[in-house]
Amino acid sequence: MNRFYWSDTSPALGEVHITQQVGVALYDGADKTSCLCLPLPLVVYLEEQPSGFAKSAKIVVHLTAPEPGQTSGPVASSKFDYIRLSFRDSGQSEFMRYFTQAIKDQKWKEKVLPPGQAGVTAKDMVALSKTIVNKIKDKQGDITEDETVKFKAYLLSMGIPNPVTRETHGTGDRLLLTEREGGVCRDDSEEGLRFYPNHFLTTT
Amino acid sequence: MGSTEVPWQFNFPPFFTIQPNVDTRKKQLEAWCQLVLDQQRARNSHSLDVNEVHSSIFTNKSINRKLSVDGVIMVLEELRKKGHLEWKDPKTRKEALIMWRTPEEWGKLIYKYITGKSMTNTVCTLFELSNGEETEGEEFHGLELWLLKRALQTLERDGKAELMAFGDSEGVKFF
Repeated sequence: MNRFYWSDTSPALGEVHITQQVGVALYDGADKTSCLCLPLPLVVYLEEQPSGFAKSAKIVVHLTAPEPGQTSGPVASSKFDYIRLSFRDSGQSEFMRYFTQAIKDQKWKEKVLPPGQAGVTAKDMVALSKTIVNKIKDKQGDITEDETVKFKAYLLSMGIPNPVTRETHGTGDRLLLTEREGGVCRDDSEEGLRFYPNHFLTTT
Repeated sequence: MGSTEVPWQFNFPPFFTIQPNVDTRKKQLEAWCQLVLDQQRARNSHSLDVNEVHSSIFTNKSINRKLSVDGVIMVLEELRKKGHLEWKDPKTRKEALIMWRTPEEWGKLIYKYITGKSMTNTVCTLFELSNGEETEGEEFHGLELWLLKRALQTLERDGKAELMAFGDSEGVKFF
């Protein structure tokens, strides 16, 4: 699995410790100063597999291709586009909740700058999106192209994770299976084929 | 789009791709059907031109998405199966009649009004019914004649009314 990369265990600038579950952390042997890291932006979709007879509970994490130039990890290439976290002890559902929320919040999108510098914050995006939504509702003037681009980014940050393209996702067989099961839905346009969480089935 | 509220699906790119998953597609088509009916009601129009709605109701410029023509026909066929749409040209399918309320729904509404006013076993002209002073404020007031007749025909089928003609005008008796 080539999406992991080596890092040390102190949080980098902007990283927040959300939760830790015994039995899931991936330390390198007895060494607690370095560990394996998985970039959360690569997560497309999470699947729960409850425990069964002689089977521990698992979370299946579907991943998109790694960014070119990603820091090295234990494996250079992988034929799979998902990993499975096996919970030998309890804690799978709680971890799933935190994990799902972390993917939804997409805090990595918030620009983190050393204190003292100005930057675009998530709040600015919310304000902009409200302006655009109101413009759509009230049909006040035209929505500029710049606003459209920013609005799309806002929609993405609303809990619709980065759309995954077939090009970046490799074979995508697992994704097609997930689509057949109703977990994702597709957006097929001149911009390419993308998949989104299936809000048709989850939103009332 | 018109003055009606935009449903969340309209800003969701996958809404503009007909979904291969059957359950997902069912929900998607339901949402499109509702959107078309709401838009037609807002326009107060019973007429639909496929090319025109393709560029208006079925296009969202802000996210650069448009439902395919096949998709549009699929949605309109769903509406036809539910009794809300009739092709004016079934072979070419370019123009349609849209009834955001089906004739059955209109029939029920009219019959409720009639029984509420204890007007069963009385006769009135179709003009009185749709345009008379008495019915001002009722939802069926101003209903187009062709649709009013269809509504009354559904009541006829149920034995609740009988259409009749006296000279030049058409009328109806309620039971």
